[in-house]
Amino acid sequence: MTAGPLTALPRREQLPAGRAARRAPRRRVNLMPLVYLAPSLALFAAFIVFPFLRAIWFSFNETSFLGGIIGFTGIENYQAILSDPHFVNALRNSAAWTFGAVGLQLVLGTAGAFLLNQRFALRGLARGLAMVPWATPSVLVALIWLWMLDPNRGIVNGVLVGLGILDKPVAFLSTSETAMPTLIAIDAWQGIPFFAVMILAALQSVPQELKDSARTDGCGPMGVFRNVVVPHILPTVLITLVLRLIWTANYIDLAYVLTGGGPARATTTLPLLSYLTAYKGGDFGQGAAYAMVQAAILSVLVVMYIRLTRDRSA
Amino acid sequence: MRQRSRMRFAPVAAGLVAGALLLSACGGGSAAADDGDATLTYWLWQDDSTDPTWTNLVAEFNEQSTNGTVEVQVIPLAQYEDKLLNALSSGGGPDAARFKDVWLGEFVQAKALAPLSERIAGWEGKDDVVPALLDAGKVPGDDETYLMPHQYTTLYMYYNKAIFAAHGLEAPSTHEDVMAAAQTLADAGQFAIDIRGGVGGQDQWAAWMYSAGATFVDDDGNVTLADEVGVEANQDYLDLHAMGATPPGSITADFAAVRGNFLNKTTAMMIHHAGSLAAVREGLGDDVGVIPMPSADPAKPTTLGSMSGNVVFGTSDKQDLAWEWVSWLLTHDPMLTMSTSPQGQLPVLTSVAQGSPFSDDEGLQVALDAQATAQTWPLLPGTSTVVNKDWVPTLQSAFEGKVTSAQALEELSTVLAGK
Repeated sequence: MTAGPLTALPRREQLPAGRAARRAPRRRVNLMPLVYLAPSLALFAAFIVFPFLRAIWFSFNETSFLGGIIGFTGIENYQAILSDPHFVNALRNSAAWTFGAVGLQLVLGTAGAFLLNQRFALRGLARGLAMVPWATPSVLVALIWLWMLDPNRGIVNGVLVGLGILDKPVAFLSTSETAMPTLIAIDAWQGIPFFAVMILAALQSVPQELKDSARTDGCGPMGVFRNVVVPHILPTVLITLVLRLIWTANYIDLAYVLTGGGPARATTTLPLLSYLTAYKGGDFGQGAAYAMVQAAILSVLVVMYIRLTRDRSA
Repeated sequence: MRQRSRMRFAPVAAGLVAGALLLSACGGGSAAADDGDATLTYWLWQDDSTDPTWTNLVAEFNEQSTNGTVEVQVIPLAQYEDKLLNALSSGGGPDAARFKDVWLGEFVQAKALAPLSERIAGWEGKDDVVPALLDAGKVPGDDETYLMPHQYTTLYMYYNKAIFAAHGLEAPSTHEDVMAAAQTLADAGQFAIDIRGGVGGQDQWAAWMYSAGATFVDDDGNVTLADEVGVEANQDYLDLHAMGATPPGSITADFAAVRGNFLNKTTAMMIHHAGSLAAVREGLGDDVGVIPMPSADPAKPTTLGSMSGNVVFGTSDKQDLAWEWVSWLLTHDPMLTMSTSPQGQLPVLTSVAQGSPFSDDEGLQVALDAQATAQTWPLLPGTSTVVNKDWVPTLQSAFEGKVTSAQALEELSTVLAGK
């Protein structure tokens, strides 16, 4: 199927004689796919490409309180990052947050998947209920945990003190030592079902005949697991892991609602620092520079994700 | 085949053209400005989202105005400034908005607000407005008024009479009394007060600092927060936490937690303003006492005063209607309605403040009396950044002992000065 009027090739008589003779039969460019894709591309350009390019431009400029450009400053905003005492702290917090939360989700989600893959009564109900934390809106999750962890009236401290496990209530979200581990635990609680369901789906797709063959060849339960199950679910686990790392690294809702990045910046991650700098400090240029550093770091994970999905589709 | 392609292309192209036209219509012109059909977009936040007072006032205004109508957009306070910034930076935003005095410096610097002095000069209602509050709509170095006052607060102290009596304490009348009472209560295992180190806690802290004798700027506009008096006043605040007089979680507490602790008798004192008076009385009845912020020097009582008002944006093409709306809010009946509503604060009109219930309520009178000596946050280039971003982590670091009182104040002073 071709569309003559939309071709943009030079006419044959305009080409040098020898070249025209050498040319293969003329190929016409079909622009119809582009036309069909145009609405999506327009939205993509407006809401992804333009803001991204604008953020890059902001990061090389001094900006006004209302986001206007005051003047080009080159790499000054990036130099300021290097001398910012809060940057290293934010980077460290980001690493602890991302790898801590996702690591817990991976381990416990995998365990949950194997558990849900067993035969037991009301398994369907258990699988459905397991998804509740994942399906709960993030802000609601934050508020639920805020109330439960309240040191003066919250149920968690009430139970722990009541059982004699604690002498006195612990302000989990209000001390630097406990705030980040608490956030990680809450995010893990919410994210475990996602891992569990993804891995469960992979587990269910392991061909029974492969497992039977392995047993016939003398594999015990661990051998079947190592030689059949793991290779089969590994691509799913890796893709889920990389996706979740990207999401979690960018996820600031929980910290913003529960701690605001505190106490004393103990839970301020890099994207949260970017947001606070731009919107609370009115410095959009510096905030954009932080965001660019975050984007550069995450691009490694994005490349990994693309390679994984490409390998899989190949 | 080609014919088929063309037939498919036609509706697609038509759709794209229609979409483009629609988009251009969205971004294009506005309603008739300042004529009878004009619609003014007004943004506000609600201190009590269930209270219909603002909606009722808008309906009342729309009924009597012949120049146009007001359309309200309610935005939660937590996102209010962000959304204003976003809207204004992309060329949109409201015509007029409810506004806090501490935001004024940066918005004026960004030339986002319409000057109102000329309109005020010709406005017959100006003599009824408390003069100091009308002046609070200016920024240093600029004679123009940009903010029409609407409601204001002065911070005072609540104390629980029953808890104080049970520990043999009198109502504190000086800063030293507060520190002594806090120590006595802490020694007895009773939490004294929340230090509110979370969002919004900077106003309580500023009231504490002012009443303890600290100053934020001198007459020349130099930041003086980190001088000896300031460091000592701040150290007292930090000591409340160190001596165990504050409940767990206080260094990140927001107002909901602070109020909850006071109403549950977890704490014996609370620094706030008249906006919480009704709820506190409902929760504690006759046990609650309202006193001015106990000062280091009783001869020089002072506290923090803060104001919310209304601004008109320079980009609005409905300036006359905007002025009509914000000045109508400053007439007697709408002011009385707002000030006595569940989210009401102190009226900025003398005629309302001198009438009931303000003249015959002991608690409200404490707040009104404080206005004469109250001080506001200095409207410096860095005030908004301190209030919105830096105060919370800096004070939390000091509460946790990561920085000293002096280091914390020096850090805040640097930001305040806009360095």
